Amino acid sequence: MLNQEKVILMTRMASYESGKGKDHLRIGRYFRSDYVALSLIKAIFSITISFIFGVAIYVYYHFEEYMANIYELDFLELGRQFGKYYLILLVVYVAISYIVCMAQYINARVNIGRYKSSLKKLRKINKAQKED
Amino acid sequence: MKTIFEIREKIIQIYNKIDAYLIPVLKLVVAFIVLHTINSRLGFFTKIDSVAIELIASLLCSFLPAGVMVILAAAFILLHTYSLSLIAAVLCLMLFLVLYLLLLRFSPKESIVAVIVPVLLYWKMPCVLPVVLGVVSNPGAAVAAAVGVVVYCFIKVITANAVAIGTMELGDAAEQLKLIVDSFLANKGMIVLIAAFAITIIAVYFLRKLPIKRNWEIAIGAGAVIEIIVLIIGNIIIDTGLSFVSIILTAILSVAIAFGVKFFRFCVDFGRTERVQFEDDDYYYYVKAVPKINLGIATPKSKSINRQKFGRGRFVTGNTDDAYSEDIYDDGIDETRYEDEYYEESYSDELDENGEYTVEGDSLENGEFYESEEYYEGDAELSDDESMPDELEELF
Repeated sequence: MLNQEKVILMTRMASYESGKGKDHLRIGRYFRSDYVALSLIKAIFSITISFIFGVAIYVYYHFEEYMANIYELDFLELGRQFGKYYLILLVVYVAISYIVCMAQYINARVNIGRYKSSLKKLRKINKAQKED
Repeated sequence: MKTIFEIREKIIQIYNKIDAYLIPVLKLVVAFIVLHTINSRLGFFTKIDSVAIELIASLLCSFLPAGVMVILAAAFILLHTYSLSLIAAVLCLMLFLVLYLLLLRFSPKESIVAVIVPVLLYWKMPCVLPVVLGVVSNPGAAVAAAVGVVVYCFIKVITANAVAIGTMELGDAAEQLKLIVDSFLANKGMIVLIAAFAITIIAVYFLRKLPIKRNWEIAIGAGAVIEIIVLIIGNIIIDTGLSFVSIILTAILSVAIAFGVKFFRFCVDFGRTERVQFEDDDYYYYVKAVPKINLGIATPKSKSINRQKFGRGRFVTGNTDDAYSEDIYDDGIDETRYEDEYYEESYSDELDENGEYTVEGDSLENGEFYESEEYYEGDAELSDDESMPDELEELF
């Protein structure tokens, strides 16, 4: 026979699993340190690619100037300048990414906690049903 | 007020019946508008500049996830810019990649905003979206809106310099790049638009979360005012190309839309009817979960009057349990106004011989009184020819 409470509980859980739960359960599979590390690696990759694009556009923009003064150009100093900007951008972006991914992780864990308590409740209902 | 609630319930009932078809149709319409706007503004690649192609692409978007619309819109822009100039296409691709890698990956669910914002900016309706986004979304939408503004400004630069870019040879690649980059960076209005959108979305979001009465109304009103102020000041300092009239009119429109969204939000919570499948040891379940409707449409059947000493009588019609549930009260329905209307309609203003206001039951249809006290001690004013009973006078 159908158990109304069980159906409602399972419906809510199925709805969560197919909605927000998808992301939460994916995040919840990681330990916090692993998730943060993975997010930061992605952030470093993203900022590096973006910076390379930026440098490419900058160099191409000033290409004629560089070509005209190629013998007087201090490549070391130029590299240092680019390196300095890269580090500043990297630190800022990684810090923002850290805050965002921590917030995402905490939110996911809180929701997974509720989901797990629903699972426990469901298990109890199943057990009671079997005993009957 | 009651009529409005009834209309709302009817709309929700219709919505629940047709939501399976309505969402794809809405997606199709939005995708068609977006793609048609891109084609009409850029239109350099004639092979995709046809209604048939737009319709086919829109049909794809209608049943695929919203992210597909973003990818298709980006592909259309790239094809048009490639048709104009290779350098423009490369720059466009770089810009899209950077925007995705740095910003959009934090808020992938709001990426659709990045597509809708440029369209609204082309239609000179800048203020419509931010207030509504603050109501329905989260601060992540500010990032997506910023991405939309950047894309709009880039397309604007390409269209404004299309003739110059088109006439340049491939050997003038450096010149083309300089022209595009200089025009793009010279567009200071972009910063004003990004600031206005971001501030508005974040302000509305946090104001509506405040634990104060009328937080939604305050958030929507304040959001519109903030947006107007930032855009007008920005427009005075840096020319954004937007007129004051369009800013104010679209802000008013956004307030109307935001109130409409808020009005419906608490009944359907934007979570439409859900169909879920699961199983246990004994059954397979195919469940259709329909959002609960909070207010009955049927004509009022019962009324209750709670005695309040020297205060106004409370008068509720319809489903009294629902009408006073915490949810509805918290959701911002103006309970007082709702009650007062019925109070005015149904109470007699005549004092009876005991100096008490009597309740007239004429307005009830098939109704009955329960848990009620059939008199009212109120703060209504007495007319000149009526005297206050002694026992009441003592209390005053």
